[in-house]
Amino acid sequence: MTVLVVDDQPANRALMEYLLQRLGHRARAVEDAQSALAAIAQEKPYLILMDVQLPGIDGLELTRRIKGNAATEDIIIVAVTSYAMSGDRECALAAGCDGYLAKPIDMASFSSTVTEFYAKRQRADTIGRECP
Amino acid sequence: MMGTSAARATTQEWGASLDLRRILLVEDNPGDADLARERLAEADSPAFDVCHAMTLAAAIESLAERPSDAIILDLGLPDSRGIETVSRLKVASRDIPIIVVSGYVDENLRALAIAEGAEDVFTKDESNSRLFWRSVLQIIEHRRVQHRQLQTLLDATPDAILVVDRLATIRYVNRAALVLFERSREELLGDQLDLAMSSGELTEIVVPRADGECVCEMHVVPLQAWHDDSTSLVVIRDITERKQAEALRAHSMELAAQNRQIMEASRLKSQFLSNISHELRTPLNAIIGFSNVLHDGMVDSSSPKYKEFLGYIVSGGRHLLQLINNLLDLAAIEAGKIKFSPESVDLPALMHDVVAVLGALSMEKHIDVEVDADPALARVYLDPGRLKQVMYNYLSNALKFTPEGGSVAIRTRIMSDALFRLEVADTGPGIEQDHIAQLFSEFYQIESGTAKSNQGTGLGLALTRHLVEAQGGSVGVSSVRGEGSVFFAVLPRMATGGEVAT
Repeated sequence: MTVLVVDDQPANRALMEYLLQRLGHRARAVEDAQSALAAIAQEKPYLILMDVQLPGIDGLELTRRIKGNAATEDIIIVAVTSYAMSGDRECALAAGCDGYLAKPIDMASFSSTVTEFYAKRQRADTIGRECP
Repeated sequence: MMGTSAARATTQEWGASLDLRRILLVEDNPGDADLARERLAEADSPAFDVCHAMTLAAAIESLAERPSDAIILDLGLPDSRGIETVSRLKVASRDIPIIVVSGYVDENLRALAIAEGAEDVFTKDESNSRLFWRSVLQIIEHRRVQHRQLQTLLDATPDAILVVDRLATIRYVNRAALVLFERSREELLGDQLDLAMSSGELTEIVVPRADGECVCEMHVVPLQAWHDDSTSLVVIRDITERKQAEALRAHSMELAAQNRQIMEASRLKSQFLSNISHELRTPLNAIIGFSNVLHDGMVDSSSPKYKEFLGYIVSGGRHLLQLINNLLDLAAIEAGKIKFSPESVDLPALMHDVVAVLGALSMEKHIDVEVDADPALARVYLDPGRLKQVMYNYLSNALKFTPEGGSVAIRTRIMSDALFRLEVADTGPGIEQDHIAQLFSEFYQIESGTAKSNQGTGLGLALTRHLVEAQGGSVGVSSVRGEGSVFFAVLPRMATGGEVAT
């Protein structure tokens, strides 16, 4: 059960990787949409922490592609972005994101969001196994 | 007001002749004339007022002196004989019906007389009957009905209609003309029409009125069939409302355009705020995030991670400071508050200074930086701090985008007695033509797969442009995709004045 971090800033990648590891998750971090798609193909994460402003294909477009593909639509995507004006959350959710975190990251919200989605995924997986 | 005055005018025009039928009898034989008068006296219909002329000349003179409702014309006059008499009299009588009386009448004469404009033709014998006078009466009545119909028609039109002679003397006005000029028919008739008239084309005129001005369209038509060739029909249409509507429409279009501009300005401002928020939050994320992590004490202060995390905080802080400085500079420029303190500057020395400041970056990327100063341009008189800022922005951009092992050159060249050019050339990826127009706008950053680590504020080039333009210069870039770009600034060699506040 890995988490994929997509962010073009090295500092942000390092920060989120560290925070995820501290929460006991396996984390990988990539810098753009191409690398993200490659990483997903290699090992499908259960959660993606998605920056919105990325070079080339942006985070929202990448989200639409992942959610529009039957093989990857079940990946939970949380937007983690510096776009924190009114309407930016709605934009992220409209693109298909399951959650939204504004930068600068609030440590408590980050932990609770990741933990909550992890628990939700585990429950879903358990139900899935009981009722094939 | 319009109704009463116009109605009175109409009555006056026709009222004088309602009861009396004014007849001009043109007859050289006194006996015949007396006979005619006798018959008239016997007539049971309304009274006739007869004026007698013995010659054509006398008839024409009489016509000029008093109006007539009909002319009874004997063809054998001392000064004119035959059918020509009709045509001669017609010129003077204009539209007054002419009834011809002749000793001998055949179909040929009748046809000729009518062709010349006579209303009807009678023999002398016929003219002595009561029936003749009844015919005269009918002709007059018929003509009056025609006149009244024409008058009704002209009075019913909303356009002012006037007939003026070659001296611009008003000969006829309809009811709308009375309303337009706010004068009575008596005042207008015989007066001069004080308007520059050019026949054939529509002219716009302004008629002064008690309640303001009235914008009109005037059409002048020559009336060949009327009194003489230089008589004209003048049609004046009030187009004030149309003009007002046009002005309103133009005004509303102007307002709509202004509104669009305001909306666009508002949109750009929102966009600007959104971008500032985004740009400030990005370094803050690293600063706050890593500060929290280190503050928690979970990272050993002697570990390499501790040092790495501290490094992110430091560079985030620096980035934030640069962003704030750029923003403050931009705000100062936009508010027109930035001050330039020009002094004599050693240009090559300044170029070397800036290259040295960025030495660490160029060494790290193994980029060769060439300083190519125009030997003829040792000194300029400009604000050294602002000039350095422009050089720094161009050079740091060039180093940022040039791949490892590439080369960058900073150059100066004299352009004229007044201007010089500063340019920075790189061997970077070049810029797509589409992006060049927006390159010097605030927060415009080119998205490029190869430039992902190029952290910038997105304000450097915008600030450069503002700084250069504020000193009366201009900026630009030329670029070839895959080969590199040349960013330049054209600046005055000598700033105007000591302290230039823009």
